Amino acid sequence: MKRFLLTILPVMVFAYKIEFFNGKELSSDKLFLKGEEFVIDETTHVNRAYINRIVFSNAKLNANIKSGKSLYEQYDREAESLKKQYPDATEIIIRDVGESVYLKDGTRLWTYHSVKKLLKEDALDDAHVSLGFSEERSKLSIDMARVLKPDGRIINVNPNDIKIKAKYSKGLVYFGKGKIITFTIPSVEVGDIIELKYTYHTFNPWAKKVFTPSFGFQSYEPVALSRFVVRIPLSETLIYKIKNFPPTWKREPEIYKKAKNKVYIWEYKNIPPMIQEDNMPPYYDVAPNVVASNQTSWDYIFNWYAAFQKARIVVTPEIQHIADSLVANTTSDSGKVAKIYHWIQKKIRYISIKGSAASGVSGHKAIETLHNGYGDCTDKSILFTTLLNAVGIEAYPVYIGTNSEYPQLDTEIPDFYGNHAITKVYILGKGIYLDPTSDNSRFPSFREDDKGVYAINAIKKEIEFIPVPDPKTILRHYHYNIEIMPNLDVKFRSLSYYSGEYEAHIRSYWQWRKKNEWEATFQSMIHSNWPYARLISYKIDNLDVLEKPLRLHTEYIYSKYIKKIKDIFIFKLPEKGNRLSFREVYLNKRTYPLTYYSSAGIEHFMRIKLPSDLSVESLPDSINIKTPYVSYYAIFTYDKINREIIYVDTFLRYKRIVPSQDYIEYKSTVERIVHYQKLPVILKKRSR
Amino acid sequence: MKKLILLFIVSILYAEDIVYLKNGEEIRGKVISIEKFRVKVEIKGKKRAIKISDITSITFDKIRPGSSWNTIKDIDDTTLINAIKDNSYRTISSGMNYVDIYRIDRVYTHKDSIILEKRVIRRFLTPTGTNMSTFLFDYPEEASFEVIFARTVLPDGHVVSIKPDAIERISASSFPPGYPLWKGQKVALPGAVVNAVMDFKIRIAYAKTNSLRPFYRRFLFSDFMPIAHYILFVEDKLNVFEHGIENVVERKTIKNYIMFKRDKIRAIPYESMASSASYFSPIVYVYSSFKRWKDLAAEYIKAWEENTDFRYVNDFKGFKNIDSLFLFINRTVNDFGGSPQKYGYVPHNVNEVYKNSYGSVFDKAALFYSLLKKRGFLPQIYLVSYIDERFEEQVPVLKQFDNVLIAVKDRIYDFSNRYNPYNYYSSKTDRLALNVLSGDIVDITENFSVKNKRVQTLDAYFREDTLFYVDRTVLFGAPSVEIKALLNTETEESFRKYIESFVSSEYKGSYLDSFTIVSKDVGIDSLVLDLYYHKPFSFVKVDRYIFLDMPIPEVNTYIFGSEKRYTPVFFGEEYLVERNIRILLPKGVKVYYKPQNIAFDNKYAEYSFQIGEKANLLNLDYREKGKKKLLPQKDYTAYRDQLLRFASINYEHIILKKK
Repeated sequence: MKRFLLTILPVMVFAYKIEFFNGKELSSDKLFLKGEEFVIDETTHVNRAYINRIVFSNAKLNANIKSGKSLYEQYDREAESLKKQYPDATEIIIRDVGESVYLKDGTRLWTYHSVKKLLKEDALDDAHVSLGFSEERSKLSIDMARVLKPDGRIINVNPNDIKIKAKYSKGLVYFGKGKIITFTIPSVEVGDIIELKYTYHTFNPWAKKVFTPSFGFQSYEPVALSRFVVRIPLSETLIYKIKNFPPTWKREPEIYKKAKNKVYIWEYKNIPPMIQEDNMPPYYDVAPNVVASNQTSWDYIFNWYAAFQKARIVVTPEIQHIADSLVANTTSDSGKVAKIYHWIQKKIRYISIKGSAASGVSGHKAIETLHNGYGDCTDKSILFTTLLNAVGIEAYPVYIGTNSEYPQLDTEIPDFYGNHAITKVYILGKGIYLDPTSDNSRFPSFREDDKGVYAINAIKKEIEFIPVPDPKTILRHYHYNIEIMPNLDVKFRSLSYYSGEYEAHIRSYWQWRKKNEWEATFQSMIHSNWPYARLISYKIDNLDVLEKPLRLHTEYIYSKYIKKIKDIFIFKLPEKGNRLSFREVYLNKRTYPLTYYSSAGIEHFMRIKLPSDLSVESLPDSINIKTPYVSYYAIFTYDKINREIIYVDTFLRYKRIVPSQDYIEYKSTVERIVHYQKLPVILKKRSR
Repeated sequence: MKKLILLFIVSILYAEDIVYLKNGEEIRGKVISIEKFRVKVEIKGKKRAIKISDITSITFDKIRPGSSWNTIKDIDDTTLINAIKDNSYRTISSGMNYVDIYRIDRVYTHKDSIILEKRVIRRFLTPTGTNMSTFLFDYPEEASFEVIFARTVLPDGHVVSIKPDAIERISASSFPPGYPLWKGQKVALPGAVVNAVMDFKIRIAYAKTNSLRPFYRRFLFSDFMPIAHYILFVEDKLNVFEHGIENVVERKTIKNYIMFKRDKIRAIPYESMASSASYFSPIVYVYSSFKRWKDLAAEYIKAWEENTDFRYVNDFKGFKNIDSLFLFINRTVNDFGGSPQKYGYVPHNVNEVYKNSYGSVFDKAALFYSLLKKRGFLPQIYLVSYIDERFEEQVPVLKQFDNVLIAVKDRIYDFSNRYNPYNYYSSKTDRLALNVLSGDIVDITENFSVKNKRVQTLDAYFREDTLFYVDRTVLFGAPSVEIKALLNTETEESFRKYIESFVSSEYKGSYLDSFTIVSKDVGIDSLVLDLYYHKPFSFVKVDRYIFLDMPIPEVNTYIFGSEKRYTPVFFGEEYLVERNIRILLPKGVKVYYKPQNIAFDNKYAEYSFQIGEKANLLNLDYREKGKKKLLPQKDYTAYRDQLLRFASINYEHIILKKK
């Protein structure tokens, strides 16, 4: 493929476009600025205060027509069989070719070449291209960006229409230095083929010695040819692993030597599109992909990370003073850890400023984060570690990939892994994980998306799996005292409390709510279950006391809740059905596993006092389900003497991931649980 | 607090020119000369020469602040200390996450610019409140921005000033070249802890020379967090329109400024389905340029006409009617998205739009307009706003609009979605529109109606404990556009997954068996969809009784839980849902109990449920019609009572009993 500038015929139209603040524009081939005055075409003099922007146009490149019919036809032929196979595809990806080159000096090139046949209007969006780069680390060149028309015309993007923008940041993440190159390939229509090729030269990588290429071979559209090429100097070793490959695919790459390089090529054809499903694992956990590394052990990466971390985990007198004051009067190690864990969550805000490597993976010095009062996950983890070390507790920052966004680590392929940093803390010799990035995690709870993933502890040179917790340790408890009144209204006194991370969500929700919204929110909650609801009282215990369990108390009446139908009275146990609804199993079958953040546990206890004139006609039978994924136990009992119905249930989900082959059985199990929630209690007039 | 006097007020970021290089680098400084082969830039006192061949563009800052700036006195540190000390804001801040002790906005002219200064003095009251120490300010490309100062006064009196790396310059756009852009700056203040006081002042300078891109801001005198003192100064040269401020906001003239002031502003609670504050808050609109819609329209149509002389008319000879012309342009000219408030209202030259095959909604509409004119029609251009913000008829500013519609004869065309049919416009469009050719604000619904309707006929029968449904759904207007868009973008398999999700949420706990799209022509405004699905465990057996699930849409009672309402309920778009369900009962059972018919009809909505029984058929009719976009607070209680009464139908039972 020839370089872009060689394939076009430049046409000089003008050299400068001058844009005024009032929206007017002028084109000129002569422009000078002297002091405060612009001289345009040697005749027009304009004060600089009126000029907004000058676009330099050394070569205005108009739509350039060149016979490309044979190229179009060649690509079109390659797309043909997939077009027939997937007639409703938005586009066919004819080429999906990536090449990763590790240069002798440790810098590297990444070239990507794509060719797409556009079959539906929505594919036209591919004409808008946006590519990010970090100006202090890499250069990005657009080698080719063009549209091939069926009549043979080739229209290239105008280089002057390529814009460089600052990265757009969202939420609490700041990008001090990232840039984006954007442009639109013109005149693109359905039926056209667009071709894009670009190269990144990473001249300043994080670590010149570490080279970890990877590539995914599947897309959301059919792919005619996907190829991944890796070139490394002969002196280097490359270890690699294939993942999620269909059984029919060739397992080994083609390997040959060329010049002073070893070349590895993985190439696959006619790849079906990936059809996305809700709650599926991250792309690289399901798509066929290759991961590779020139590191045969983790040592270099451990040392690289550890050097940054150690330099930043420094106990200064100020940090020592704060740590000591936080744990004053606390004797146990777990008490000390809890105090510091709660303090850092409340005092150090989460703001991520992505300005340099210092804040990319290595974080700022502990003292800097303390002074700023904000930091990203790495900053907070380093400060937390430092404060713990100051009071004699062993702790380390560890890197993880959060389970909903990042693929699972392959421990055999050393890499700079992860999108998040948390902390491993040793209490009486036992290691636990804590995540100070949160706002409201009560010790020893930590974020759900940190679970079921690997953690890299660079300082200790360890990689360890963070298990999914036993659901019995993270139960959500709902207790009700229910009284059926003689007029068939029902009075509820309810208490909710939580053992796991769910508490953090509830605590954050109520903290975010202003106090003048609480009553209306409780009213809305009870009304969503019964329209004739009346709130009597509500109370939230320990909302701002992170050390103590959060407890929500409500008292309310559901008027006319017991339905009298002829000679029977119907009573449906409220609210529990909302918590056991399993909306996520709506698909009849799944191609990909169903994933959750973590395990889960819910427990109900209801004591229902009957009025003197009613007795039980029928109670639902008990239910007892146990599978490797979930268990559910529920039972109604009637205490005739005290005229009370007691209901208890416990739902436990043990695993985070349900594989697709077990999905149908899982779905059928949870449907039985849903059905059970609908069963009413039937009461009748008590015979005298 | 005595250490406050040590504060240093530093202008952190001065306005500057930016030279963009081809290698992605940006050089900031003052451009001092442009010569034949090089550009010279002064950077922090040092000169640097750059080859012209290395440059892609240069942007020039408009405003260079100097001593001549026309300012009136802001609050000084003594006043600030007293305000923090006297704690008077405590009466409004109980239970809040933060309180703004002072908010001072000032708008004034300076040479040919309009300057907006904002100062905020905020005390954090809870750890959650400390998160409100980051800000994003956005402004048009031609404006300039500076942080005059930004500092946090810690509870012990120490002062922490902002670090330059905590200010991020954003140019948040990937729009094609030639389109106006917006820029932004994001500021994160350090040292935000409970009881700290944050104090910052920023200045944005807007160019006012472009009459179609004028200065326009709305200042709201209420907020979701409390404000002890809010003061707005507006220079009297500027256009001002006030809405709902009588008896709420103090208004007086000081020198050449109008001062608006409101103290002790209590926080508005966040409420479900809350309308935008523009519907209920006291507002002061400040804007430059035109005072009358007619003048604005005259200027606007001139700009429109300049760009709509279309040269490639012959390419469209094959299109016999207007509808097919609309469909072609709307589907094949690639819309790059974004709002006109950010990228502008003036269409680009239609020849370029056609040649490039991409453009904004306004560009597409202009291309269509120019073709219609060449064919001898007299198309109308309507600028319309969307209902999520209140449209102010008295403020002639383009920025109030969100979309453009083209009408010809008795048909109307909307380019806001690639799959829009002809003679249709989005149901989120507000009633009032600017007719650009006449310069009048008109009620668009008088000639063109909104379509947003779903009509369903369901036949259901039992097999064991599963209820099987055969459902014919006819969608009109907005819902049909949504499904057609998916039909065109998704593969059959992924579309099926979407329908499976739709069935499961609409008919709680149901699973799709199959579906047929009976008609899917993008041009027409309706779609017929046949769905076949089943609901396992659709009834529960208890002794002799069989309890059926109520097969009607669930009325959302969460929103109407609260007994009183501080803000209007925002219903949004007008719509109609009709569902007729016939259930074939299994043999050997009879209806033991069925709920009573229930209905209500008022000026905001209509709901009705009817149930009938004939032989072994149960017939249920459900109807729901939203008639208005807003429910005002004064009518909330009456409406709530009616709706909650109706909602009891959700909890009703149909009970069968073995014969």
